[in-house]
Amino acid sequence: MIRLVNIGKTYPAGAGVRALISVNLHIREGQYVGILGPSGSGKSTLLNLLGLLDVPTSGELRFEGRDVATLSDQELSRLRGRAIGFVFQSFHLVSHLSVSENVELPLFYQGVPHRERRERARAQLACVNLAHRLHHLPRQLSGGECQRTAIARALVTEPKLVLADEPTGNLDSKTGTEILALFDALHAQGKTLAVITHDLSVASRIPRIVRIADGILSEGAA
Amino acid sequence: MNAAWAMELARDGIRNLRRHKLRSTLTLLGVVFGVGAVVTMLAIGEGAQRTVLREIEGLGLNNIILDSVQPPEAARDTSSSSSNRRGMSLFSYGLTERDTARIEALIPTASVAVGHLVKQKVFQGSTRLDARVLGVRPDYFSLFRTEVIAGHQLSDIADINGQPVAVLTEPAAVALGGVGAVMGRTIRIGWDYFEVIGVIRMPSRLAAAGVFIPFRTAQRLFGTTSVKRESGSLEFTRTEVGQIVIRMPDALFIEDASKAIAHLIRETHETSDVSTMVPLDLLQSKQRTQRVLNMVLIAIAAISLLVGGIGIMNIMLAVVTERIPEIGVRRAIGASQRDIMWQFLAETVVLSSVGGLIGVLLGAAMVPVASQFTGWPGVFTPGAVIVALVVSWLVGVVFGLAPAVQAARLKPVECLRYE
Ligand SMILES: Nc1ncnc2c1ncn2[C@@H]1O[C@H](COP(=O)(O)OP(=O)(O)O)[C@@H](O)[C@H]1O
Ligand SMILES: [Mg+2]
Repeated sequence: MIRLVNIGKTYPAGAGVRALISVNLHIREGQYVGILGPSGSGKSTLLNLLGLLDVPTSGELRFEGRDVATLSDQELSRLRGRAIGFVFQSFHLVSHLSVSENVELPLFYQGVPHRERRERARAQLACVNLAHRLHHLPRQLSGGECQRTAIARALVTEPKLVLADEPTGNLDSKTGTEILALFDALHAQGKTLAVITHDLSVASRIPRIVRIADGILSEGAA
Repeated sequence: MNAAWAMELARDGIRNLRRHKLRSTLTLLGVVFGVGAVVTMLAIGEGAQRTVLREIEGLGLNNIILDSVQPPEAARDTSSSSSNRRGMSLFSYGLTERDTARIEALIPTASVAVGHLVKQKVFQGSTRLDARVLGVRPDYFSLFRTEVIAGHQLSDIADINGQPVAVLTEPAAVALGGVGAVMGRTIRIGWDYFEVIGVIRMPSRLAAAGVFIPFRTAQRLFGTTSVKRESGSLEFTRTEVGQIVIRMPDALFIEDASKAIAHLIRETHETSDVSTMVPLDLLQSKQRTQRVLNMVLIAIAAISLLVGGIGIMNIMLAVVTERIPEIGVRRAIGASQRDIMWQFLAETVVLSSVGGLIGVLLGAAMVPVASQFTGWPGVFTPGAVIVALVVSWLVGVVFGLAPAVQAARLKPVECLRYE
C-alpha cells in the first residue's frame, strides 16, 4: 500500500535537522504497524510523510503505486480525505464545532450533502459509543471522549489507512486500552494501521513493530 | 464549486463571525460607513443633478435668450449718453428693434419673441417688490416650461393686450405675502395700477421675482424711456427691447446660431449691454461639472471603502493566525489549498456584504438629513443601491484574497505543530 524508498527528511531550521535518514519501509494492505522510538527520533515526521501531509526531502514515496511527488495539491488532498484517516495525540478537534460537526467535516470536503453527512457522522459516533454526545463541544468532553470523536472523524470516510500519532499519549491507561481495543477491531476489519507509540506495553499487542532512533529506521522488536 | 457548497461556506462564515460579535461589528463599521456615505452621496448627487437639469431644460434647450443689461457705470458717461446743461441726460443701452430685425434676417428659420422691459418700481400698498417687469406677448410663455399655480396665464385671455393686468412669478407672489394674498389684488407699477390675474412658476434663471404684463400695455403706459430723479438732475434711460428670445427649430442649430448672434452683438454694440443665455450651453457645462463632482464623490467613496477594506483585511489576517491549528486539521482530513482559500474568502465576503447591506440602509436613513443640509432632494436610484452592494461585495473579495491565500499556503504539518 505504501512504499518508502531511501526517504530522507531534513528540516530547514538552523543548520538543518536531519529527521529521517534513508528510510526504507513497505506497509502492505491490512498490516498493523507500530512505530516505536524515543522522543525526537523522527516518528511524527515519518507518520506525516505516510499521511501525505508533508513531502520528503529525498527518496521516493509510493502510495498505492503512485509516486507522491507527481501529485498536485488537489490530488494529495483528495487522497488524504478519502484514503487516509488521522488520529492525533492532542485530538485536534475544531473547538467551535460540535462533536457531530467535527465528524462531518471530512465528508464536507468530499462534497457529501448535508443530510447524508449528518447520518454518517451519527452512525460512526455510535460505533465509538458517543451517540449521546452529538451536540457537545469538544471542551465539554473527557480526553477519552475527545479521542473517540477524533477516531470517528478518521473513520467516517471509510479510509483504507489509519494513522495515529501517540493516540494514547494524553489518556489514562484504562481509556488508552479502550482506544487500543478499537484499533484491534479495525485491524480485524482489514484496515491498514500505522500507530506511533513509545509505550512498550502498547507495542506488545501490535503485530509488526518498526523502530526509529535518530532518524534511522530498523525493523522488528529488539 | 456549486451553489449548495457556497451556501454552506457562507453559513459557516456567518457562524464564525457571530462567535466574535464585537470584533465582527467593529470590522463591519468601516464598510457600513463607507457604503452609507456612497449611497447618501449618490442620492444627493442625483437629486442635485436632476433639479438643475430640470431647471435648465425649463429654459428651453432650443432657445437663445438675450437680455438688455445696464452697462458698467464708467462706460455710460462716455459713450451713448448725451447730457445737456440743465443736468438732464439721456442714456440709451441694451437691445434695439434693429437687433431684432438683424437677428430675424440672420436666422430666418428662428422664431423671435421680444419682451418690453419696464424700468419701474413695483408696490403693493406700501410694500416694495424687487422684481423685473416685462411686457410680453401671449406666446412668450410657450417658449419655456411654465406652470400656472393660481388664476390665469396672460395668454389665457384673448384680448389681454392693452389691459392693466399682471401675472407674478411664484417668488414675487411669496414676497408680497403669498399666492393667496396677491391673487386678484392690485399692484402699482410706476404710477399705474394693475390687477394680479395669475401666479406662475417658471425657471428661476429666467425670472426669480418677475412681473409680466401685456406687451401693448407696457408700450402704451411706459414707452421705452424712463426717468430717474437724482439730487436735482434728471436722468433718462432708454431701452428699446428688454429681451429677445430666439427659438431654433432644433437644438442642433444652437451652437452655430449662438455664435452668429454673439458675433452680431459684438459688432453692433459698443458696450457690454447685452447678456446672452444659452440653456444648451448651461446644460453642457453643468453636465461637465457634474462629471467632475461625480469623480470627486467616487474618489471619496473609494477612499472610505479602502479604509473599510483594510480594516477587514487586518482582522482577517489575525483570524487566519488564530485558526492555524484548525487549518492544519482541515488540511489533514482532506481540505485542499483551494478549499481553505474559499473558506476564508467566504467569511470576508459575508462580512463585507452584510456591511454593505447595513450601509445601504444607513445611507437611506441619512438621505433626508443630507437633503436638509444641502437643500437638494435625495433621489434613490436602484442602480445606486446595486452599485453599493456590488462594490461592498468586491471589497470583501479584494481585501479577503490576501488573507485567504495566506491561509491556503500554510503547510499542513506546520499548522498542526503550531500552538
Ligand atoms: N518543522 C520542524 N522544523 C524543524 N525541526 C523539526 C520540525 N519538526 C520536527 N523537527 C525535528 O525533527 C526531529 C524529529 O521530530 P519528530 O518527528 O517530531 O520526532 P518524534 O515524533 O519522534 O518525537 C526532532 O529533532 C525535531 O526537533
Ligand atoms: Mg511526535
